[in-house]
Amino acid sequence: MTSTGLEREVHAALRLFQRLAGRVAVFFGVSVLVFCVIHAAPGDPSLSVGVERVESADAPTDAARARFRAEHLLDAPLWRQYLHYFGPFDLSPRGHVWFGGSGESPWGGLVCFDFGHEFQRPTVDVGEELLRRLAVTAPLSGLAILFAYALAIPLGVACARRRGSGFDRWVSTGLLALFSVPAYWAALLAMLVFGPRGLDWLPVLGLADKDVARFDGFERALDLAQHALLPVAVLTYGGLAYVARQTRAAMIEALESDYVRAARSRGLSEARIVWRHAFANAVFPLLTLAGSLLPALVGGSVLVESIFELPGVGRYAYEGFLRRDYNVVMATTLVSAAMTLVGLALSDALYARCDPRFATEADSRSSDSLSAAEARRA
Amino acid sequence: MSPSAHLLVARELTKSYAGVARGSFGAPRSGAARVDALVDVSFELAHGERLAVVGESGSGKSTLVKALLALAPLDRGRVELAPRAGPRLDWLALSKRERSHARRWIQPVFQAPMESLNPRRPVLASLAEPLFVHGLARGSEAETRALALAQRVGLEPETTARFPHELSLGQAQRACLARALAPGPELLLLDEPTSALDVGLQAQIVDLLAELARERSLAILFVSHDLDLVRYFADRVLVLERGRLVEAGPVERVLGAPEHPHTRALVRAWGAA
Ligand SMILES: Nc1ncnc2c1ncn2[C@@H]1O[C@H](COP(=O)(O)OP(=O)(O)OP(=O)(O)O)[C@@H](O)[C@H]1O
Ligand SMILES: [Mg+2]
Repeated sequence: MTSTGLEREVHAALRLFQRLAGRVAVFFGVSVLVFCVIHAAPGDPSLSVGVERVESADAPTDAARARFRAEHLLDAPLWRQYLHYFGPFDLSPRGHVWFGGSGESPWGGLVCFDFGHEFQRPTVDVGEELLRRLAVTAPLSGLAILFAYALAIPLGVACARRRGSGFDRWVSTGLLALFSVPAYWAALLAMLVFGPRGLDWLPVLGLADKDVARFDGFERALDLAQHALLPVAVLTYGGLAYVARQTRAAMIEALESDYVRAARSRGLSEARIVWRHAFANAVFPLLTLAGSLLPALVGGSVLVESIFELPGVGRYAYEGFLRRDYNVVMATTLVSAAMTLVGLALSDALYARCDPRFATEADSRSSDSLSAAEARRA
Repeated sequence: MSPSAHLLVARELTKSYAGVARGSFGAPRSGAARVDALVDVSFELAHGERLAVVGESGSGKSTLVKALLALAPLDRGRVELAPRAGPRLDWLALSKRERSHARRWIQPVFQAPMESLNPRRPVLASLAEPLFVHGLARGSEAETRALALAQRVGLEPETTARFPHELSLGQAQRACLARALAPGPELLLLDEPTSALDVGLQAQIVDLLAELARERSLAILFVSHDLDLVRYFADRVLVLERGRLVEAGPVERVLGAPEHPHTRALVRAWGAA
């Protein structure tokens, strides 16, 4: 028994490691791809070099533009630009002496967790700014996922139990309708209905009232909740509809399985059959969905944060695109790619812990070694 | 035989399914011919008796089993159940709650042993569950009794700690058998219990079943395509044809000297195969 237990653990660990290595490779692949795409996209970052840098005129002078282009290697071949971005050597004029730099800042780049500085505000470190933005986006997305699941699971289960009934049809149709409503439309509608122009129930812009400095702790929390309510709701509903539909499908399959039929004929209570037998089997595929919800949320947050003027990662990405700030675009895209990959890895890990079949499934070698272990014991 | 000798009396079991014809978008088309899966099927089953149900594919055998398990509602019909250790019951008319309790008397073993074990629970948990659900044992006592049951059907204690996917097919079928025995049933319903197993395993399971039935004076109703198995194992046999009971009686008589043309065809087909 212990030998199979141990082997099971080892298999699961190996499998997780394999996947992890694959994911890291995917991450760097994504970084190359995005880098090429944004550099191929039309638009010149040096044209929008900010007023901050050149106080005298609205448009940057040619000299300023040239300085800017040299500093950011914009005239170097793409591979050199990417290596500079990737690190660990700084290839800019101020970079490592080996590559003809002045040696002022020899190291840098992605592998040093250095995302560079903003093009327009050279004093702002993109990595640090990103963290400040994440502090807004992560809680909002987390709440959205939490609410989506908290609502979708009971709904999906209820529909599956009454499949084909009027209740099921109405809820399923409603969810489908919800799922097909674009987020920007829902966001604008919510603003119009609940905002100052409509019912005036909720604030619709930003995350805090302009007088927030004068509030005490409780008032502050209430103010934050009021500001967050609509964005979170808009981020939630798409995932909610999706998860509920998946829950319904998974539960229907589980409820029609032989083991549920067997459980029913053993005289178990309905609640026990539905939750302990059917749901316990249906829930883990649903958890892996959380991983695939993350990218959708990141995409959604670009819209939602822009519309509600929330200082999050999504809005940062949007601003970066508008200004052709390659560093910002790269950083925000890579963070969302990383979040997606981490989400997938997490759901894999959950799966491995919770599904006894995971270690042996889809890998005939492991089942061979299992029977080998059996033979050894015999 | 006096009526009290009967464990189960089935009267006029009738069930039809909506026809499979589908209109646009998969909506069932009204007016599509209904399929008669059971038509006025009546029979009795004595305590400790072994009754086989035969018939060609689609003749309603599984529908009969599901009806007796009260898993699918019938259009019409009545089943009386008189367990020796319990009160007489109007089985299909029981309330949900009463039926949950009474289910301990009738236990099934399905065709696919792997699929009828919950993949996410170790076998032992599946064996112990009927015990505490029916209030027969709790905690460590349920576990001890489950282990004893496993032993009885030939499963080692360490096998019961595994998950279903780690069992062989034969072990899974034994586990299903042990689970069915757990609540102390008086009738086992088996829908082609051995058709998923190879011949050697079939023989083992059938012999085990015969032993257990003797030991616990279980009645057994089983569906099979295998007329040799029916001859070997059953006392009496029911022959179904398109939902109708066309012949019933002792095995030697029905299979030895069939009266109904359909039975004759079945026997001939089996002999030719
Ligand atoms: N859920 C269902 N919906 C519609 N028709 C059904 C359903 N289940 C069974 N039937 C039909 O009822 C009839 C009897 O089916 P049943 O499964 O009882 O046959 P069977 O004797 O068990 O066959 P087999 O030997 O192939 O298992 C068949 O014509 C079948 O197509
Ligand atoms: Mg059948």
